[in-house]
Amino acid sequence: MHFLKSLGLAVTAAAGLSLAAMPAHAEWPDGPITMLIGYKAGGGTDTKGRVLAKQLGQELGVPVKVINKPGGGQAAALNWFKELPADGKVFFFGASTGITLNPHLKKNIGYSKDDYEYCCLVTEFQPAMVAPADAPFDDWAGFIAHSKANPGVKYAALSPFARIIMELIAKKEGLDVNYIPTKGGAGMVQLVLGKQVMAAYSGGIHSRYPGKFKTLAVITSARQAHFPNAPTLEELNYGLNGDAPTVVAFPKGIDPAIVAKLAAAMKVAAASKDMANISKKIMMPVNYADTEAAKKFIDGTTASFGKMIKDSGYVAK
Amino acid sequence: MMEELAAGFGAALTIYNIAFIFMGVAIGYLVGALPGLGKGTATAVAIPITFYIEPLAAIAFLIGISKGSTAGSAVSAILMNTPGEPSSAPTALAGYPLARAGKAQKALKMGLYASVIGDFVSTCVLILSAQTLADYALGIGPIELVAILAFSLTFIAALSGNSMVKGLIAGLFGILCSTVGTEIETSTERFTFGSFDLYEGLPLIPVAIGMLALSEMMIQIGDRRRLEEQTDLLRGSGKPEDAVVTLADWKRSAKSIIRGTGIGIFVGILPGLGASTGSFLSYGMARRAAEDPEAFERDGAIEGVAAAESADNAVVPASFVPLFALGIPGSVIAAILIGAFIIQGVTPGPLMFIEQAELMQGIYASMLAASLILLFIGYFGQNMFARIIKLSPSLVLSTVVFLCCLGSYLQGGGMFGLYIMVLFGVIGFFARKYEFSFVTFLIGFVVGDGFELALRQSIGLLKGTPEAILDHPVALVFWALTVLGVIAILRRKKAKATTEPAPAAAE
Repeated sequence: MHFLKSLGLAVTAAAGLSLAAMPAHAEWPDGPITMLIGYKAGGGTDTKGRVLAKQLGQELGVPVKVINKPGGGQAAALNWFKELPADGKVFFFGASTGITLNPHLKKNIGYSKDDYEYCCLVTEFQPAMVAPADAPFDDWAGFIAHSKANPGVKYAALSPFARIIMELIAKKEGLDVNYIPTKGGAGMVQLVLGKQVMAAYSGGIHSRYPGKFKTLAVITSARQAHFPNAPTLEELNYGLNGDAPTVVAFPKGIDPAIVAKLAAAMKVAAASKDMANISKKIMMPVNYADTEAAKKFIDGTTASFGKMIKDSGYVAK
Repeated sequence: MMEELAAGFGAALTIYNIAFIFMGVAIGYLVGALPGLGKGTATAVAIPITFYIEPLAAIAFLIGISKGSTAGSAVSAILMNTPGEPSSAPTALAGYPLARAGKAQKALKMGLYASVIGDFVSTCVLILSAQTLADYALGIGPIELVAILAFSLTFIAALSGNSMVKGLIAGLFGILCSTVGTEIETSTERFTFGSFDLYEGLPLIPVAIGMLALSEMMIQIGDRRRLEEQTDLLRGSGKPEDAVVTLADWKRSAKSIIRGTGIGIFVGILPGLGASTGSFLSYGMARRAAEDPEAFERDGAIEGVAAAESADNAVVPASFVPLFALGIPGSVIAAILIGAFIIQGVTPGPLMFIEQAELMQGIYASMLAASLILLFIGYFGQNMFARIIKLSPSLVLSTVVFLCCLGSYLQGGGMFGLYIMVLFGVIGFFARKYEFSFVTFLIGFVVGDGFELALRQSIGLLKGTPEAILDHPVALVFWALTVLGVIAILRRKKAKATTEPAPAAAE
């Protein structure tokens, strides 16, 4: 026991020394910190998180561990996370839709956006409305015309949100859409390449299949670098977007100094070469936004998703 | 193509890479042979290690693990009636009775040879025709998938054991368990009881470990005298022909291996079916083709072991067909590998062959090398594992229970996985005691999820035009096979009822 204590002291002292060598900062982090990911190991967010954690570790001078707590579209992780002490030992990295969208879809989800403090936004997803390469239309207007002429047009929806957004469009345009459910991006690709459907919601995976997809419109609020000619749904006057950057968050009550320090380290880590490489591979561009912008984004998007869900007539379950 | 492959061999077969392939296959074989641990656990644990090695070595290492563990899972299935992975459950059905008859060595060897043949042929098919097959697989949409899955479900009857009703009950219970979690279309929660852990459904690995391994351990621990008797039997008959695969055995098994390899490849290239479906189908068809199907589980059958193992291993390389050509994972292992590929800077999909042509040839060469290394490691590894049966049962059983806990913890999201394992261990214990087939439960559980999704998709796709199913010849063929299968089952049942003396009405 004594040995352990003195070992602990030695480690703390060593950590202290290495910190002392750096310019004056708050004492956080005084030991390894943990990045919480609400998905299984191996997915896009996880892969990105791990690269980010490695960069962050170099920046902060302490190891950054990654733990995965999958379940309920990040709900398991977010519920566990909100009960943690606000000491900066664990921070959350994940799709902001877990916070801005999912509480609207599930009645008993157990958390809301007000349970967390937001640190920064790191990367963006690139969702879009897509069609198979041999579809008899080339752009959004063509898709609408085709759907009007062919009621019951088949559309692959990989999530309730993918369905809701098309329902809102269909309502406005007076379309009769046949919604085909599917599981994840891989399931969507299978349906489109297998010529089972005429249109689909893609989370961004379609850009890995050059020549196989037509990108009809993008679901982000700004146009996407990969598809400069595809209009946004806002430009098309639907007033819809599905912006879903990855967000970094802490439990409520965290010391603002810690938030500021992590945000600064994230900014450097996000700009690293490794992150640029991986972003290119998995087509999720880095787009760092600071603490103020992150807070504003979470508040604004939570409200706009709430309105969308209400307009669509979806009943939270 | 061949020149590129030859160049790939040059790049792949450095001492450094061979060492990693060797290590991968050895680790895989070991975890596969240990009940409770499987390729999912091993690959997931190994991925972080691969951060620090070269891309080709890293990917070859992971593929080595998956090939090794798929073959290794036959060992515990045959020796301990405890499949290392769900896909080896049929191996236990036909292999454990052989071991009890003193033919453990023979069954183990046949399992290995069938695995290596299935694996090797499937790897060659992958190399020669990944793109063609992938395009073909895309033509197999939800409507075809429903028919294929319905056809696999008819094997529930064949694998039910003595009572078809009990087999159906177990199979339907499996389907019921597969519905737990968030429903895909409207995200309605089903049987989650407010627990977020259940949102993604019951985790396969803990359920399988509980049903297959833990329940068997509970039975064995509960009956020590029988266990010691059996341990004596397992030590072998001493007859030399029971320890080797004879020419007669090859003759009996050849058809099963060919059929199994074909089924494994077919199932592997279709995303959404999985290794278990492959081995169940192959076993079921071998059994149906046999003269005396009941003898499979009663006396054991070498061709049953060969059928299950060849299909099980053929699925693995074939499931890389949609992964490499389309970026769509065809199996759990392929899904785990996607993450590893991305970390190594390779995005699975059509671009891979253009951007990383050299690496791809290297991967192919490594896969072929892994097949041969598997034969070598399996052959010598078996001798080591076969010694387990010489150990005291109390030592073996407690170790296995520990490993079961470890595997469930790692693959089931912590303590939650353990609770699920214990729950299904208890269910499995009573299922075995009352002779409800745990194999049909697993078929239902494994197939249920995909069946539901494919069925819903098909209903959507055929909306308003049911006659459009006539445009799907593959689906029609499988529906016809399903109907024929059901008729055959009913006929056999009727025949059995008339040949067996009717029990006296008033006794």
